[in-house]
Amino acid sequence: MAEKHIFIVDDEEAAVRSMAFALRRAGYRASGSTSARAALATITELSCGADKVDLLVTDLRMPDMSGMDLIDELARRGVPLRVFVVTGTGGPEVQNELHKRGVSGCLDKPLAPEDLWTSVKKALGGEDECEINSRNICGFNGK
Amino acid sequence: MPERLFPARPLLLVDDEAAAIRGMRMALASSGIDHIVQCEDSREVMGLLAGGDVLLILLDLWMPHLPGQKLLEDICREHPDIPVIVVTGLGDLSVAVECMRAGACDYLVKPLEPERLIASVRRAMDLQELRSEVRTLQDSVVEGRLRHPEAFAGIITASERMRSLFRYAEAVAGTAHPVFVCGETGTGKELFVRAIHELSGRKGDFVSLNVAGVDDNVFADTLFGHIRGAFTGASHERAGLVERAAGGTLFLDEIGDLSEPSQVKLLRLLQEREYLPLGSDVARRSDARIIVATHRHLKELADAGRFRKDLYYRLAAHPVHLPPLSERRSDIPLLCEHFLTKACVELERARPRLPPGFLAQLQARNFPGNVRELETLIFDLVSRGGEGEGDPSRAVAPAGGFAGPHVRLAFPEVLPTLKESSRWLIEEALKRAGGNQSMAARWLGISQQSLNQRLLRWKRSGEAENTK
Repeated sequence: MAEKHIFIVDDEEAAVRSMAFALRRAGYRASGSTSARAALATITELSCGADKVDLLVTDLRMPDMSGMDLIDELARRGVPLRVFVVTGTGGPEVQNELHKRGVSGCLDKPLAPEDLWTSVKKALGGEDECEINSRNICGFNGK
Repeated sequence: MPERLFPARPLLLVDDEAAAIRGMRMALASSGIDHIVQCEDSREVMGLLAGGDVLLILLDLWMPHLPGQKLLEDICREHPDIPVIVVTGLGDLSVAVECMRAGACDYLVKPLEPERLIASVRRAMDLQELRSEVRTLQDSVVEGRLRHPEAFAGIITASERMRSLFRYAEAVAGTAHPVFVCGETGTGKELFVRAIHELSGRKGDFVSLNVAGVDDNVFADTLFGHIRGAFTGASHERAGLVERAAGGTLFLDEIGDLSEPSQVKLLRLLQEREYLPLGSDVARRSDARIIVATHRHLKELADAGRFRKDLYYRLAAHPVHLPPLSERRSDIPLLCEHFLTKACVELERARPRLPPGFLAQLQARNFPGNVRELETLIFDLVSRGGEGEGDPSRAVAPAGGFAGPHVRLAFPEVLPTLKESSRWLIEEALKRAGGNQSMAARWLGISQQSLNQRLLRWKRSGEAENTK
């Protein structure tokens, strides 16, 4: 099986680099951007080729475009991918909004690599480990 | 069970940006380094250092209140034993050079490359461990005595060479680096390794595995375990020996026989301190200390391309060569006494009376099986002696004198002359007999007078050559 491609979006460069490093150590292919707009363009472009993104890991609060808007715009463009959110601003309302969008999981900052690995694996692999997540993943495009 | 933090002493991250600290924590934790304390206010650093046992510091240079450079000077003055890695912006290279002059051990440029960060931290940690070992070794050399002789109670010896190995073991026991024990079969490698484990103060278990003849799949499964469904029949997750040795010591015996694919897996475990259970794609961390042993010449195997050189050099961080019994003959009487007592108790026999010259015969004997062979011999002696089957000294009189089946002779490429070889033989006999000419002559099958004449002849010819 080809290694999964994970794209990380966070306006903090240290976060993008460290998450990419952690994911690469777990055997994934990881790339990223500190700009949500640039990420939108890159992910859309990649979605047409062989190197499409399997999972988007995004922050919510970013200066040029919010994570929520990024998720909505990708869905509007019909880009098929799974989404996982890493945020420092997660309340029940945010969780509800994410749930509605079919986001497969959400982790609060600061996060440990083990949490990231486990959550990403669940978001990507589904299996029987996380029933709710896999249901949400499937419902992503049906917003 | 709460997970143990690594390393035992914490790293201190000093940066006023929470995001930078989060990034460093994530990168370090991904590499198994999770014992971290952080400080976002540079004014609090000196207080933290005064109150705690910090292993090393990652210090940002641009901070409000107290600039990193000033703080670096304070740390280097007050705590010169703590390595400091400075973290600086791209434009500050001249400042970085000043910091190195002031005592920083490395500098990193922001934005931080996690790979560079990990490499730098690992180097500093290695340096710290080496310093600590050097200190312990210096102390032991100055003191010249063992701090914990009880740990070596199971090893019977009065040999200074063995005692110096014990002191070395005390010095390296506390580190996380591997220990590599080599020695012939029966020299007490496992006893020595267990002593190191005891001295290390590690709370976890001592877990051992003989890897000779273990194929790669069995090695991986035994060491790393598997997850449910990893292969047909893997209906339950099973922990490997690495997990059982968490916080303790993993002893791999006969490491020279390890297969090439297994060597790669072991190297990864040593380098990254992590492993993959079969069927899992998420690495698990290990803090087990690894000790390996072999009776083979691992360096020669590595030179011949039959053992990975990178693995060899990683394993050989702390090499220990246990001498064969033939190189510590003075221990034979002690060992003999020890095994005699042990055998009499275990076999419930009366202590046999030893004939005169018995110990000298033992000391003259070659022991290819080393201490284990001596033990077997004594047990055999006690069991036979109890039945009154004759002279116990027969047990140590090998058939055909010295040229028994186990005799080991090594010749140089250019053969010695008969004259030279007879001289070597006589010198060896005298050495083994502790200078006793009568005994040496008996072993050589010549009269003491004849031996004496030869010695005199050599002495004269030596004097004649000196006066030329």
